[in-house]
Amino acid sequence: MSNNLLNQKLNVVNVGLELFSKTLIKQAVPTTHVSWRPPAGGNKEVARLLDKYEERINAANEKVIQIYNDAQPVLMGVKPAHTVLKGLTRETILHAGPPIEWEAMCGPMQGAILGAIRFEGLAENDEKAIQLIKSGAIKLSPNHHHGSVGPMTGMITYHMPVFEVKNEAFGNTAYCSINEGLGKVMRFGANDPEVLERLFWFRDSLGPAIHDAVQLCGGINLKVIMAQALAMGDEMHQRNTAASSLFARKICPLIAKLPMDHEAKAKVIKFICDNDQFFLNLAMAAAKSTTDPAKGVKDSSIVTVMCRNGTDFGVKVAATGEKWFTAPANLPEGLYFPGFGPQDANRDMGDSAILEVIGLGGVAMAASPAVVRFVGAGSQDDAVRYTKEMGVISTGKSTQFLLATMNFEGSPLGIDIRKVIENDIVPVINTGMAHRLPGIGQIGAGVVKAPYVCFEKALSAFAKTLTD
Amino acid sequence: MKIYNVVRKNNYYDSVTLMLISKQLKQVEGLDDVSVMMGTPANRVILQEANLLGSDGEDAGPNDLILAFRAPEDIDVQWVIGKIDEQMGKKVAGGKNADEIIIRSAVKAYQDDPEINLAFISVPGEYAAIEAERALKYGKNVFLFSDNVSIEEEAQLKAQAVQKGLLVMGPDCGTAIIGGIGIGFANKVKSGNVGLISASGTGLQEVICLLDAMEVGISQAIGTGGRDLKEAIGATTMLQALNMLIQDNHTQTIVLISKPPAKSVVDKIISKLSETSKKVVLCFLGAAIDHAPANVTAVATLEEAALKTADLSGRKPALLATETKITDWARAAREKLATGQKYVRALYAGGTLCYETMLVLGETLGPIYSNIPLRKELLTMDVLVAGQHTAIDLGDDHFTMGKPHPMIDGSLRDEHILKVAGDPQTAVLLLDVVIGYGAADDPVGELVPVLEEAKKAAAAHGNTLAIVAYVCGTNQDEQNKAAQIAKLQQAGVVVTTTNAQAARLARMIVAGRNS
Repeated sequence: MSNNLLNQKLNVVNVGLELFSKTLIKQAVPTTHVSWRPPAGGNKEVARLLDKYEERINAANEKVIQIYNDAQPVLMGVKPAHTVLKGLTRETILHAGPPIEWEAMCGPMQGAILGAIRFEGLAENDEKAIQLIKSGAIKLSPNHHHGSVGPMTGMITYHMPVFEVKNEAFGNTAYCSINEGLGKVMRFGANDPEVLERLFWFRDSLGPAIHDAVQLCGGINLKVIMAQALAMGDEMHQRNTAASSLFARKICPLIAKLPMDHEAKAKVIKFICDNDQFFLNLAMAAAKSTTDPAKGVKDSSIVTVMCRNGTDFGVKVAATGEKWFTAPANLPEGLYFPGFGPQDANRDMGDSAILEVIGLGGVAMAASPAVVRFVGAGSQDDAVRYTKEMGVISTGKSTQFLLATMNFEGSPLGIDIRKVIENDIVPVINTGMAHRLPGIGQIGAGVVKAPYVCFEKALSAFAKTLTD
Repeated sequence: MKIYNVVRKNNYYDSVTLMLISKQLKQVEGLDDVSVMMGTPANRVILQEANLLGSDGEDAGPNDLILAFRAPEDIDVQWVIGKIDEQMGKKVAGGKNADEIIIRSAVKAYQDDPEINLAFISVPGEYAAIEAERALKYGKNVFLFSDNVSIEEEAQLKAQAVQKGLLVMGPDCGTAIIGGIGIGFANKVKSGNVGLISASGTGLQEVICLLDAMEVGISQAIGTGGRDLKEAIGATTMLQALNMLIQDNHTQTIVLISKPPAKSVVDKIISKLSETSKKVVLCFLGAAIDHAPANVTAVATLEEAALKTADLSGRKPALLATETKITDWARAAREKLATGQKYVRALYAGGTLCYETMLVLGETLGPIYSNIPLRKELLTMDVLVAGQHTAIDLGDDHFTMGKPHPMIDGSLRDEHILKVAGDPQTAVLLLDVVIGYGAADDPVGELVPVLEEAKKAAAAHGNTLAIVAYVCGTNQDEQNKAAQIAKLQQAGVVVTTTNAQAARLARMIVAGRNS
């Protein structure tokens, strides 16, 4: 083959010393400077494996993108957790994030667990609840081990009602708790009688009402709502105002048809309509049902789970299936409610980062000018920058989550752990901030970075799965 | 401390804006705490719990703005409100440019811009092969500046390149000029019809700069990396580049530069050269070539390569007009030397310039000790060998480990200059100065104060140091060759027209002194 370089205009990528970029730029040569760092975090063996199998990995990743894009999450109803979640005994408390021992849990997580034990009537006070935990009578287990997700502390117990979302493209289902609204809520570790009262009402009225309403229409396609809401300024993690409103428009007329007492009906409708974050939990179940079919796709380096338990951050990758890669969770950065500051903040918490996994939340920051300002003195330019940065570490684009502010480009989809390490860009997650003591609740909101170490560990393990 | 609440009726702001403002207000001096919020029931509870809710605030409604702060009794409330208004009126600080994403992955760059046709790689040697392989995979030619790449890796990379019709210049490639663009350490030279291929960076720079001084321009200058002509590589890049230059209409004369290659490699190159009728100057430093075809002229030094090439281009160069002065210069220097001063100590930034110097010195002076010696038994890593001439390449790995190359930063050489000057046996301090793209902004400017110190060090022994230097570069280079030479001359340094001439002068100064 003959080389035509001598007859071409030079266009150079400079990998390494910046000095050489400068000499080329002086000569008006188009030059892209790469602020280089050792590939695969400096692990040459891993780098070589990734390069060797690059085509195969890329093909597998395309497959996962297809799986994510093809997903059709549909809300099928609301059911008591024990009737649908595998292995959920009355003594089992499901929590957010990767597995964790009681002793290592943060304040809000412990507070929520004590409340959940009392909710199930397993103990009448916190002291007895702690005794039960220490005696080993209570099983603590991550939501992700049971096909479910939950925001912040992520409590799901035997009698709690959960949304059932079916991915009609693949036939799998995923579950999430119902959002409790703002103020003192269990997801932020609060566990006083008011909190439990609300959860009893969820169990006895709200859950069954939504379930019955959904049965009247045979299911509600959540992806359609999500796509619309994105165009209305939600990014679906920090802000769900549009999606919650759209959902309310669907569900309220159905609830109106239910043979319920007027006052009870009004209370249900008011609860749904008053909560800007009502849709968050639906979006989470939708996201979980979207990513589950990608689990175990051989050779794929795409992230299928990101979640946090208030102590650790956990990641799962398609090719490594159910294996957890964990590292200490970071502290979110953002804005605090009056009277609170960084010293009060708990580490990052909740299963809600599943939204970033499907190209929403921090990844879709450009969709939500209102949200980007949580970053600090952010501007819309910053929002676009965040999304573009997430594009650098993503494999493809969403075919349905379109970003109006970026000329209707699809939101970046499919975080590739290779790209995270290679580009030294970690996923950003939009999140609420919990007080580090139980029961105080939300003290602000902001963004948090996924810890680099998780992806580093994941990449090493992923490389080991690559064989001829 | 007192709680102050100012309520503004029907004055709506979204909560994010207010949180941002509240954050900024924390910096206002004299306030114990401060917050601005809409007066919704939930917010009033929050203010209450933060001990910021006063009686005015308690009556505020959801569309009313509450300015709440806690401060000493004597605070100027109007001043505080002014501060709050200042923040409320501020626009959002302009965000960073949305396109400003730092690129950390070369692969990303290759994917984003298919027009890229060359990857310049200067990463640490252990990762260089990985990066080069990636570039080749994405169809990019490679300029591999990095050294410490194994010869096996080099062979593999070059085999891949051949398969894809791509060029790997390097590893350890310092210089190229492609289509008039200087790559790496290169000089601004006139364009013309001489095409060069070189296994040596400074060797290439020397020849193109000498050609430039003789008004002979170049078409292309392609680097191959120092080991390309070793048997294990078999001149893969040089042969590819030869094909390119043979086919290149702008190239009429071809110059090949390398240290002496293995016999089998010489044969390969000679056989390739018989395929073209273009005139070729073959500079295998110090090696005799006996079976060259008629169109090929073999020369032994860089200087000869430049002179022969100019000759072939129809130039009758005045380049060595200074040659007749050498004897005068040498005599003048010799008169000042003390009897104990006997040896040449050459400290070089350019490796091949150093090598050429050893060839020239060695002709009459005998063994020259070096870190890149002509013969293995002359190897030394010491810049001073008692009772011997030394020529040290300070750009060699041994010296540059963790330090900038002496062409980029002179400080590495400075310390050695003082060491050499302080030795009473040193007669001649021989130096090169390489300018051009990539080199220091004003190398002579940095060098002169060190030379003044060196003279003092020699004077401490009652000696006078003869300092001879050569500036490799052109007057078009940003550092300007003439200006650099003038500064050296002002400092009492004798500056020659070619590197070989500098070596000849040094040789002459010490001739017969160590017998």
